[in-house]
Order: sequence, then structure tokens, then C-alpha cells
Amino acid sequence: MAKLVDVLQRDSCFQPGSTLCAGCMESIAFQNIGKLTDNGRKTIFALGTFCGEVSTLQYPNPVAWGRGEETPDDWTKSFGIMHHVFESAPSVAEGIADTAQQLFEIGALSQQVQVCSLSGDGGALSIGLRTLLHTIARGTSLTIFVLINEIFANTGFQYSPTTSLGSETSTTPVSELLPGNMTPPIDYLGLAVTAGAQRVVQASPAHPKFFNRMVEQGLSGSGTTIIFVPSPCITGWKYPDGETVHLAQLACETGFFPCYAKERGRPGELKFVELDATKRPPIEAFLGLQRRFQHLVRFNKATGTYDIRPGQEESVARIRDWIQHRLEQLQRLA
Amino acid sequence: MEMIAERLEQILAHGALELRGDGRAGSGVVLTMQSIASTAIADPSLHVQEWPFFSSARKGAPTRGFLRLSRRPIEKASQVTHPHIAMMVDEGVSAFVDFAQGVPPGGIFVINTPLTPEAAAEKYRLTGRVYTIDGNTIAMQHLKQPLGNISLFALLCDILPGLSAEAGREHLEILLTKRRLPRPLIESNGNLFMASVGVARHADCVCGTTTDHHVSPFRGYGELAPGAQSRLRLSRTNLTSAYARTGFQLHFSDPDGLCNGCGHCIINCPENIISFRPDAATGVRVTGAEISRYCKLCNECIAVCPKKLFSEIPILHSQAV
Repeated sequence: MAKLVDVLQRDSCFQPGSTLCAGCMESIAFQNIGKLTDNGRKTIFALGTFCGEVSTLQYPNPVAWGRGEETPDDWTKSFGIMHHVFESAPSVAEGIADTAQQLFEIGALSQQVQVCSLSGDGGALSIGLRTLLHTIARGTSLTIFVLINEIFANTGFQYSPTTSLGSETSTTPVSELLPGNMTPPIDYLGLAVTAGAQRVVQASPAHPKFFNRMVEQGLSGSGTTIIFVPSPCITGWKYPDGETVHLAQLACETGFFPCYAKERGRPGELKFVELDATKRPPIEAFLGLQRRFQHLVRFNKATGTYDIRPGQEESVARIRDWIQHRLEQLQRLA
Repeated sequence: MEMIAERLEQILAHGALELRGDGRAGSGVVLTMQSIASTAIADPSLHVQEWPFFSSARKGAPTRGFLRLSRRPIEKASQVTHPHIAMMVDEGVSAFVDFAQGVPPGGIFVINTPLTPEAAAEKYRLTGRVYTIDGNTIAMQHLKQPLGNISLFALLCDILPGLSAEAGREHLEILLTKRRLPRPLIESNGNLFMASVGVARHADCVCGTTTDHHVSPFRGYGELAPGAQSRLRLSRTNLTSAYARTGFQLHFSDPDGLCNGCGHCIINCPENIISFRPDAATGVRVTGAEISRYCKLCNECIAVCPKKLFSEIPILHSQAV
């Protein structure tokens, strides 16, 4: 395992000048993935359609992927990108990995390549759940990244299957009759485990050492590694500038997006989050920062904390119960 | 003012009055254009055409809005290349595009800036009637956000024939209700609108030459030399520092050598522009950031630095843009 300080100094294959929002967690994740894949092996990325794709591969100007000034024949720095439609990033990555393996076996490639697939939560878990699960089930050696921002951010912040309870999106509006999103999020970690992934991880660059260790294990190990990256979306979640990393940390500590790692055949491990609800920070701290939850909580100037709005106790209790239920469920996953 | 109104009324009667607004994603150029359209459409004698124009680029990237007004049915459906009125909602956009491009001499320029009309005309080389309004300052009082779009809408309600401040406010509130803004915010937007009526300054200026703001005719992409395409398409040419909040920049100062090499700023910089050097004692030592080209001022480094070495400072106006 490379040390954090060495990873910091590597070349990232993600260049500045992309058109992503200021403070986008996807951009932070790409920087770190770009540095972690700079390990002397050729990398091939398969990208499904999502924010991180349309804003970084935009004709005619910003193509934000490229590693320094190296020519493509420098094998140690080389990498490729294959763009595909919403749902097919994992299966295209599988095809790339199979082809590369064949080429390696007949001697056309001198080294094995590492293959990563990148897609958003809408693309991977709503439109493309089928390809995702089938790719995992077939067990090819690749690393699948799913960036989770709880919405279809690219098309205008519509509901996706990972949207939190009570969240306001453009297709689950809040009104006198509707309390925002009423469906609990899909249990994607459980799905990936059941489909038979070698490693199932949930980690974000807000916990850099854990994230780096997990990505390196995924890149060097055999079998399918799936890494869910919680990505606070500054425009869709509607929070102030400079809170992205803070929110990602809070999301883990309050149990919305617990850091989680599970190897096949071993019990899973929850990280940086307490199973005991009383030891966790209150979820109001997480909800209050975001305007999409403003119908549930409000800022209390006297105490400097966020309080539940009168009449919304039930909705917040429902979220709290769901979090506790999910954490216990994750703990039990074998 | 009367002369301008008369001229605009003439354009309306004989053809289409064309408006083009330049702003940045999030600065409200779409809302301004939609408000004008919905106010004007209430007048049964007016025909309106309005649409925004932007790419998949995100918050801070340049966006455009187009609008045509006429007393006759509008047959044109192309984008506006020679507008009668050119509007700039956010001054930061002048780094990307020429907002006055194609405006014939004697056109009308509407700018959201603290500058006087004369100074703005000097800065952007404008010839014609220049209106300026310090929308950001007025909006800071009402919304606590530097958004100049509502003030510009109030100003345009004054200039455009057939529009009035009362109708403008009414339609603005209807539009904001449709956008599901909370009630108090709609009211403060209405107050902001009323506060902006009549505070604009204007002057007739002659600061441009005939070659300024020239529209170069489109002759196709032609044959590109081998390799030219890849050079065209690198993101390094996309200077995203202009996405940052207008008038501010990131500042790094570490006079006492406090940087302990934790690397949080390097890990969490979305643009990977924090500069550092290897250091024997702490691993790495941060020396600053490459702010002039790519810093979008997302404030992440300011938030994560445990020693508070990063900060946001205003740019002196002479250095801006």
C-alpha cells in the first residue's frame, strides 16, 4: 500500500478546466482516483453518462482527462477512456477487461491493464441496475465506481432510487400534501453483496486513507470490486460553498452514508460510524445544512443548532428509524 | 429617455426588437428573460419569443438568453446575433464572451456593475446608450446574495415599451411562485425589484471604434491540420477561474511556516491546483495555489485547512477581469 503522502505527489489523470460545479465531490473523487491509478499500469476507464462525463468530455472544448504531457506510448502513464450511454458502463468495462485479458494471453499486450468503470447513481442503480448486477455476478476483474449524489443531477435533479427519505427533488416536490420523497432508498450495498461481488465498499475521499486503501485493494485484487462514493452535490442538495467535504464526513457519521467494507466470505465492517444511535451526531446537523430538507428542520439562532420544525417530528423519526434499521442490516450482512 | 422609447416603439412596430443577455449559470439570466417575456405576453398586442442557450456546463459557466418582442407575428427563429439591446447580468462573464458583439453603433447596453456608465463604456468600448445599475449591492441588502438579475429586470421594465414596474413585479412573483420559492424569499425579491426601480444611471457614450465587437462570419470548421483537434480539445484551455464569484480570489499566506503537510487541501481540491514541494520533515509543504487560471473559488481548501492558511479576498477593481 502506497503512503498517503506519496499518493499526493502522483500525476492525476483528471485535469483542471472541467466544467463541473465549483466544489463538486465527483471532481474530488476523480482527482483521487486519477492519482491512485497512476501506479505504473495502463488504466482504461469506461464512463456511463452522468455529470462527471458530460462536464469533462464536452465537445469541442474541455476534455478534462489526460495525464501530463506524456505520449500515449508511455505505458506507465497511459490510460484510455471509453464513453457509453447511461446504463452500460459496468458491462462495457467488463468487455474491455475480457478483451485486454485475451490480448495479454496471446502476447499482444506486455502487461495486464486495470479497468475501472465510472457511473452515477441514476445510471448505475436506476437505468442500469441490470447491467450492474450481471457484471458483478460474472466476477470479471475490474473496479466499478458508482458516484452517489441521490439524484439525477445531470438532467435537473430528479428523484433517483437512492434519494433520501423526505428529500425535495424536482419530481418529489414538497407541498401541503406531499412531504418530499416517501420511498426509502434502495439497499444497493446489500444488492451488490448478494450479487456476489468480491469486495463491496462505500467510501468517499472525505476519509482519504480509507478511500485510498480500498481503491488500491480493488485495483490490485482479483474479482469485481464495487466502490460506492457518496458525492454531495452542491447544486442539487443546495448547501453553501465549502461544505462538500464536511457534509461527506457528516453523512458518514450520522449514518446516511456509512463507510463500509466487505470482502466476500467475511463479515462486513462499518467504519467511522457508531451503531448506537445515541453516540452518533444528531441527523438534524446533516439535514439542516441542505436546503432540500428545509421543510423538516430550521436553524435555531438561540442554540446555534438545527431543530425539527413543529409537525415534522414524524418524518424525521422515520428517517432516523430507517438509518438505524439500515446500519443494523449492514452489520448483519454476511 | 423619451427619444429612446420612441425609437424602440418604432422597431417594435416594424420588426422585432431583439435582446440578448449574457450571464453565468446561477446568475439568473434565464429568470430575467422569462420575467420580461411573461410580463410582455400579458399585453395582447405584443408577440414574444424567448429562450435560453447554454451547454452542459455547470454553475458559473457562461449562459445566454435571447428575446424578441414585436407588434407583429415573429417569423425569425434564429439566435440573436445583432441585438438592439445587449445585457450583461454578471461582469465575470466578460472573460469568456464579448457581450456587446454585433450590437450596431448607437445600440443600448445594460450592465450590472458598480461603475458609472462612462467608466463602463470606457472599459468595454461601447458606443451608444449605456445603462448601469449596481444590482449586486442592492441584492446583498435584500437577499444577502450578489444577484443582479432582478435589478436588471426592473431597469428593463423602465426602458422597454409596453412594460411597467407594477406589472413587472406582479409577473415576477407569479414566476417565482411557479419555481416553488418559499414565500418570504418571493417577498424579498419583490422588495428588491421595487428598490431597483429608478436607481439606474445612463449616459450616451462614444468609446468604441468601428472594428470593436465585430461578428466574424462563420465559414465552417474547414480542414484541421493533423493533431489540431486534440490541441483544440484540451480542458487546459478552459480557464475556469472565471467561474469564481465575481470580484474575489483565493489567497494563501503562510508566513510562519504553519503548514504541517496534512495534505487535506491537496486531496480535496476539485481542480488539483494546490502547489506544494516535498519537505523532509512533514512530507509535503503547501506553497500556494495556481489561482489565476482554474480556481473556481469553491472554498473547500478554506474549509478543510486545519491551520486556516487559505482565505478569500476581494480583487482590487483595476485588476479584475
